[in-house]
Amino acid sequence: MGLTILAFLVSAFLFLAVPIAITRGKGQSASIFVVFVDLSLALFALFHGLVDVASGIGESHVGLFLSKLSFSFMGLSGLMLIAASLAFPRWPGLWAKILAFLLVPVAAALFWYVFSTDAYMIMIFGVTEGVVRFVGRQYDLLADLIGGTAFISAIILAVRGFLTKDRINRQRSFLAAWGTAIGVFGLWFVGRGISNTSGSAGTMGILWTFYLLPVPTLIIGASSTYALSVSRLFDWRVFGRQILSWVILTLLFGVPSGFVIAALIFMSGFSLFVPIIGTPILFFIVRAMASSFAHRNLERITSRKYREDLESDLAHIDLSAGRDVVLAELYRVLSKAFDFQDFAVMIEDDAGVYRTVYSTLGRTSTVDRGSRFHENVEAAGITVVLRSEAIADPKFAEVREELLGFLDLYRGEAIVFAREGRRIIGAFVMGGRKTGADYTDYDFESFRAIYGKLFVIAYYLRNVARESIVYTVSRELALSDQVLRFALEKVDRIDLPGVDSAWVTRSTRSLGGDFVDFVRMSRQRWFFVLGDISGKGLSASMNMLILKSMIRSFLRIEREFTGLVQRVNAFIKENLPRGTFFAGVFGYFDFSTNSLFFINCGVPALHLYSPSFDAFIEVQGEGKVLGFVRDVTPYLKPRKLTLPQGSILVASTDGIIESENVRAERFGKERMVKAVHDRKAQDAKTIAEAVVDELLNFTGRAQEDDITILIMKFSQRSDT
Amino acid sequence: MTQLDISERLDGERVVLVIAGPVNSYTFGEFQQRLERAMAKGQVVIEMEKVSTLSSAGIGVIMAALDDAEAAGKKLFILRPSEIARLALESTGFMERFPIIQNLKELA
Repeated sequence: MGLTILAFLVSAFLFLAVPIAITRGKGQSASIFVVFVDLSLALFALFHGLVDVASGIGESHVGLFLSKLSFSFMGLSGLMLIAASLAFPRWPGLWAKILAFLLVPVAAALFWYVFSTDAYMIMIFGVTEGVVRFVGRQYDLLADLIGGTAFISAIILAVRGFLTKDRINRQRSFLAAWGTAIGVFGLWFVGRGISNTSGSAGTMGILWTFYLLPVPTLIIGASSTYALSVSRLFDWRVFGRQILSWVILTLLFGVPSGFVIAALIFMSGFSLFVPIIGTPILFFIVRAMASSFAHRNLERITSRKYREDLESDLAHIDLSAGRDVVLAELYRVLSKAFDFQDFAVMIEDDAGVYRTVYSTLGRTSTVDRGSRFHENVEAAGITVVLRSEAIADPKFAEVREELLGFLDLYRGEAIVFAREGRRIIGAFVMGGRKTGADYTDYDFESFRAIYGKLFVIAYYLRNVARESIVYTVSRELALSDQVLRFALEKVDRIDLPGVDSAWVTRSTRSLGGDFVDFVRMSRQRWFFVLGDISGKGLSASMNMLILKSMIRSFLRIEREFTGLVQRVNAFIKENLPRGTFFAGVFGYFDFSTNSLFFINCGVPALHLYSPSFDAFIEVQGEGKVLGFVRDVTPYLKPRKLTLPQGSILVASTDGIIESENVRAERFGKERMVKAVHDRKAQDAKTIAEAVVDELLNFTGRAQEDDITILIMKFSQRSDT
Repeated sequence: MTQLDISERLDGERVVLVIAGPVNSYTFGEFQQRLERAMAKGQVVIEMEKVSTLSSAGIGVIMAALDDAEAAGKKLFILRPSEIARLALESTGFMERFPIIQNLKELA
């Protein structure tokens, strides 16, 4: 009786598969039939479970009715499998549609025959040991026919899989064929193979295997739905290696631990204490050992190396080498990893037109911003698309033709779209492999892993390395105004009454990595960041622009403060050139409560002037720079400051306090704070400029580092 | 001292890169090149006793070298950093991640 729960669980899972088949099968001719397969198998399992319930409470007639209903739905699922196999991936001809249509009267006839005769089942009732059934004379024949129908569908799928040229559809056909065949074998084994030892046609038998019957149907329903859903090719080698790894771990750790527990139970006189206490302890010990073993010995088996090398190679591309060098190097690195021949890059220009900037085939094309193709891809939020997905995934149904046409133009098999927030700024089209092999799920994950680096390159190509500018006499100087203006223009200046803010940023060589950014989150809340991205010149400026852009993108998706900072940290570590780090501060101003929440990420000076004490208090505390470690979360310490009326906040990068004069004396925090204090009655802009002037007078020589100072004055606000 | 002086000596199989002067926005490129060249030869020790300035660009060079050394299964050490260099490294908040030694004998 307890095993009846299996039938209800199977039924629940199959019902859950129905919406998946509907959504993922959108636009596919076989989807309606797979939905019917899932539904009829779910109903089979449900009624099968209810047979046991009804028989158990003495309702034999109800049990018999439910048994016939259950079997009929099983029969319907077999017929629907035939229809699905004919319709997948597409109808081979009109004859197939007619054949599928003819299955409707066949299903009706089956229901009629099962319910109007005793051919399938005569009587059913429950006893203490299980369910007792008097099966009809045609029980075996009917069961064979239903099983045979499902098996024929598996053969049809397998044959169609061999005949199709699309590898993705071949994989999907084989998946469904194997799942159905295994499920049918399971049904035969459980339903007939074993039960016949205790019961036969027209006789009585106690069938404990009765309870297991729905389980194999789960394999059929799940494999059919999964085959309909999957749109990327498996890397069977990786899959095989993972299975091998699992087998090794089971043999080395799982089996011995089972023996240990069994021995302990035996030695303890079958006390419950041993399994209850001993098993979890042993589990954690063995798990730690297995994990360590797998890390040391099995990673080579389960993973392929190229992703790490690829990430490393991309990180070594020198973006300051110029556009052509960058593109050539990008092609070299990507083609080495993915083993392709053809490659193209499209970048959005100032007019919003996507133009080919690199193509190994020498082909060029344009895609207008606002075209149907562009809007659909942008609206879908897609970043990586494989050809197999373009063919099989319903989410590309609207744009399938254009997407495949675009891929065909560049002999492409995969596209990575670089997005700044939602906006697409460029696309990388990877061609087919030289070996003819398709891109797999592993490749897809690799594209996702390198997405950040490709974004950086797209950003560089779009904003920095424009051809017309690159070929000027002095590239860095020619870019300086453009870069800095662009950076400054994107700041949302605080325009609230009672808040006076100003900052000064000066770089050593026109270009620098210091920056200040404010982002308006709501009328009363503003996000700000101030900091210094390491490096100098063009490289630092470019990284600064990229980081500013990414922070704004992350702000749209990350609500948690430390999560936001960790995202920035991970982006720097994984995507910006090696050795790049950010020292600064992130903060949220909440002017409704006159508070500042901030995280110090290595800003050297954050001071708050307290009007009550007429003195500056150093408030930055300890901080860790971003980009040094992969996970900075454990080091992040959010702090809160109250900003009373008359207070002044001063933040600066290291360039100000570490600047030295000819006697090697540092300007330092004290001089900076004093310079502000002496002018505290003046407006923020005057104060910021005066501090910088004082610094330059102090050093009396050429500036050696980028300098940034931010002054914010808080006075009584009319709306608070 | 406004010039960066970089010299190299061998300590057994180790390359000791002696840095003297400011490592700032004007000089970090040279530091980077010399360090990369030295690392190609084997284990490297950067002697920083006479470093007068270590800017973020210089710290970035050391960070990148540490990453490269780790990836290549090598080790990189910083020998006797000057007070200025030590403060600069400390400012990252990750002082414990920089393998600092006071004497080459510590590597024996």
